[in-house]
Amino acid sequence: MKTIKGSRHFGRAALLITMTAMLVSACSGENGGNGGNRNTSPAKIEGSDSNAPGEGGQTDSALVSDKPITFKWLVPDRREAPVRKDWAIFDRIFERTNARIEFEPVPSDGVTEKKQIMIATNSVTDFMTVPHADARLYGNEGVFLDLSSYIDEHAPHIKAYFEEYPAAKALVTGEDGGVYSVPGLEGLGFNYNWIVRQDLMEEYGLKSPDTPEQLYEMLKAFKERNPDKYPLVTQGVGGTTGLYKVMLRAFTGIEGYIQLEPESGEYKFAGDHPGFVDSLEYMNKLYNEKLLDPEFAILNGAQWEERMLTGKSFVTYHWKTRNQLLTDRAAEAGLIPGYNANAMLEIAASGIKKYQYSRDIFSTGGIAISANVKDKVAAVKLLDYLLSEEGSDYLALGIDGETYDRSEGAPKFLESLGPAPYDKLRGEYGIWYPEISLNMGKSREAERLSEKAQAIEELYLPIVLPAPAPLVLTDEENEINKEKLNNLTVYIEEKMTEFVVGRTPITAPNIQAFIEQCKKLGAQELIDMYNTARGRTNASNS
Amino acid sequence: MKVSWSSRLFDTGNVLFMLLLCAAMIYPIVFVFSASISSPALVSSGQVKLMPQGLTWIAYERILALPELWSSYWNTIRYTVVQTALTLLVTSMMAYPLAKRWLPGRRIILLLAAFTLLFNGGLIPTFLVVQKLGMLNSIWAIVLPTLVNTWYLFIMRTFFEALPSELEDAATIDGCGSFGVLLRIVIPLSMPVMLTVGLFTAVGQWNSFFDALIYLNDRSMYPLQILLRNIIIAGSGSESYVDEGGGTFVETVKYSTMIIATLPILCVYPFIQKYFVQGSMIGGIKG
Repeated sequence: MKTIKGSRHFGRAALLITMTAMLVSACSGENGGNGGNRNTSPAKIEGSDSNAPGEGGQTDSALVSDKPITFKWLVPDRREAPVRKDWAIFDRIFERTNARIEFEPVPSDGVTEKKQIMIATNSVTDFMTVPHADARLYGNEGVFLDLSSYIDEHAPHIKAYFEEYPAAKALVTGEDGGVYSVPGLEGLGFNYNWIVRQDLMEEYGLKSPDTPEQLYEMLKAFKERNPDKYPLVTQGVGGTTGLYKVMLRAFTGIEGYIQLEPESGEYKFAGDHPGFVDSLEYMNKLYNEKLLDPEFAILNGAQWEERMLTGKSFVTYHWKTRNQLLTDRAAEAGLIPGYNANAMLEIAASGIKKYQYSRDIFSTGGIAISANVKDKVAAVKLLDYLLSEEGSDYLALGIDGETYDRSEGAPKFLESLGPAPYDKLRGEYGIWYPEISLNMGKSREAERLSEKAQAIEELYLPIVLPAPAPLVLTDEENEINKEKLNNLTVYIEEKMTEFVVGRTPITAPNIQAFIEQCKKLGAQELIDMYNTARGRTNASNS
Repeated sequence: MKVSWSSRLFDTGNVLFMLLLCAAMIYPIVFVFSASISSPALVSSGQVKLMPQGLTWIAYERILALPELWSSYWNTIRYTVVQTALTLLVTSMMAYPLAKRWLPGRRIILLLAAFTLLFNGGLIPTFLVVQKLGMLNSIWAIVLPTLVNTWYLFIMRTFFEALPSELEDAATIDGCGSFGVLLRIVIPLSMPVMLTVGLFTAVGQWNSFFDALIYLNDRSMYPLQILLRNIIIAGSGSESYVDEGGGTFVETVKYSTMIIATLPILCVYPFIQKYFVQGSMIGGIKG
C-alpha cells in the first residue's frame, strides 16, 4: 500500500496548497477593492496656483463640512468616456467644499436594474439620479432624504431654483409634501430633423419639400434616377426617430400617438384626427411605389446607418448630430465622393402647422440624496453648491481658461478642443456628464457649432415650440400609465404597420375597428388622465 | 467491402450538408475577426462581409489600452477558479453522504434540495441576505450564493451511487477515514463527473454578469462580462446623450473586445471537449 501512504501526504499537501491559493486570490481582490480612496488628504491636490482667490470672486466659504468628507455617487458609465477618479473639476470642488465625490460607475446596460435593486433594498448611494416618479414614490417611503426641511437654512440656491421653476418642484414633491430630488435643466432646443443627401439634391436640381406631396415628388425624382434603391428609410417606426411620429405630426399636428396639441393645449389621440387616415394612405403609397425601404419597421441602428452610408437610401429622419456624423463616416469610407448629408425643414400637410416640440426643459431624472447619508447637512450643502453658479459652471463648463472662456461674453468651449468635443469633455474632464451635471442646457449653449450645424439650428428654431410641461401623475395614475401605455403603443405600431404595408386594407371599417380597439386598450382613459394632470399642473403654476 | 451507389449518394449529401452547417457556424466567428481588423468606416457601411478590408489595428489598440481590461480579466479568472474549486469540493461533500442509502434523514434533505429546484427566494430577498451578511462588494457575493447547484448535486449523487461499495469497504479496512475515502477513492474515480460539473460551473461563472452588476460597487472588482456589455451594447439610458457624442467611439472595438474575451475559451475548449461529451452521458448505464 505504498501508494496510499505516499499519496496521503501528497493529498493533504495538495489540499492545503489549493485552499491557501484560493484564499490568497480571493482576498487579494478584497484589498484592492476596499483600499479605495476614502478621505484623501488635501495635500493630493496640485495646481492650486491656478486656482487664485480672485477666480470668480469666491470670497465666501462654500465648505460643506470642517473635515474632508466623502460621498458616493452612482453614475452610468459611458463607453466612449468612462468615469475616472482623477477628473480635475472634482479636485477643484473638493478644494472649495471639502467634499470628495467618489463615483460608482455602473455599466449603462444594467443601470436601471441596479438602481431598482438599490431602491428596493434601501441601499442607495449618497447621491443618485432617479426618475421623478421614483423620487416621489420612494422618497415618500423613506429611501431618499426630504430636502424641504433643509432648504431654507442650508440651501439658498436650491430654494431659488425651485422658486424660479415651480414646475420642477412639483415634479419631485411626494404625497406627503416632501421634496425628494432636484431635477436637472436641459435647456430649450430641438433634437431631430430630416436628413437628405444635399449633394444629390444639387445634382438633380431638387428643392426642399414643404408638404407631403412635394416630398413625394422629391422621392419619385430620386427613384427615377436610382430605380433599384429605396429613397426613404427610417430606423424603425416608433420612438422619437421612427417613421410614424414624424408622419403623424405632418398630417394631424399631433407629435406621436397621444400628445399635446399645440393649438388647443389638450392631449389628443392621433387616431381621432381626420388626417390620420391620410397619413396611413400616404405611407402606404410610398411603400407600394417602393419609395420607402420595405424593411423600415425592423431596421436597427447599424443597418440604418449602412443604408444611408452606402447610398441605398437618401432621405431619413434622425438626430440632428447625424448630419455631420454621416458625412464624416462617408468621407472616411471613401465609397461615395462628395457625400453631404444635410438637414431639410419639417413638412406639413395643408392646414397643419409645422412644428417640433423642444426637448423637455427638465431632465427625466433628478439628483436625490439617500435618506441614510451620514452627514445630511453636508450632503444638502454640496448639492446646493453644485446648483450654484460656481458649482454648475464646473460641472457644465469646466475650468475657466482650460476648457472654456468668456472671451466672447457668453461662455464658450475653447476652440482648441476641436469640433463636437463631447467625448473629450466627458472622458478627460467629466464635464457635461449625464447624471452628474445638473445643467445640461448650459453646456449646450457653450458649444461652438460648425457653420453647417449653425445653419441647421437657424433653419429649425423658428418652428420649435416649448415642450409640453412635464406631468405630475399621482400614484394611481402612474400605475394606469405603466399598465396601459406600453400595450397601447405596441398595438398601435403593429396595426399601423399592417396598414402601411398593405396587409390590412385602409378601409373605413378597418380604421373604425382599429380606433375602437385602441379605446378599449385605454387610449381615452390615458388622454383624460393626462388632461386632468395637466389641469392640475396649470392650476398650481398659475 | 463494396459500397452501394445509394450509400455513396447519401454520404455525399450528408457531407455537403454538414459542410454547409459548419460554414454557417464558422462564419460569425470569421466575420467578427475580420471586422475587428478592418477599417471602422467600411464596417459601418457593411462593406466587410468575409475578408477584412482596410486593415487596421486600431480596435485592438483601443481595447488593450484600457486598464480595466486587464483587471477585469484577472477578476474573471479569479472568480471562475475560486468558484469552480469550491463548487466541486462542496458539492461532492454534499453529494457523497447523500449517496449512502443508510444516511438518516436522507429523504428529507433530498426533498429540501429538490424544493430549491422549483422555488427560489427571489432577487430582492437574496440581495438582502447577501447585504446583511456583509458580503457586498466582495468576491464572496459572486461565489457563495450560487455555490451549490441542485442539478449538479443530483448528477454527482447519482454517479456516486453507482460506484461499487466494495472499494470503499476495502479502503475503510485499510484505515481510511470517511474524508479520506471521499478524497482518495471516490473523487479520483469520478473524474468525468467532476470535470463536467467543473466545466459547466466555470463556463457559467465566466459568462455571469448580473450577479456582478448588483453585488459589486467598485469598478476594480468588475469581471470581464461587464466591460464587454458596456462596450458592445450601447447605453440604453437617455437617448440624447447616446447621440450627443460617441463620435470618437471606434465601432470595431466591439469586435476586438469579443475576440479578446472569448479567445481563452476558444483555445481551451477543443482539449476538454471530450469530457463534455463523456459527461453528458453520465445519466446512462455505467458498466
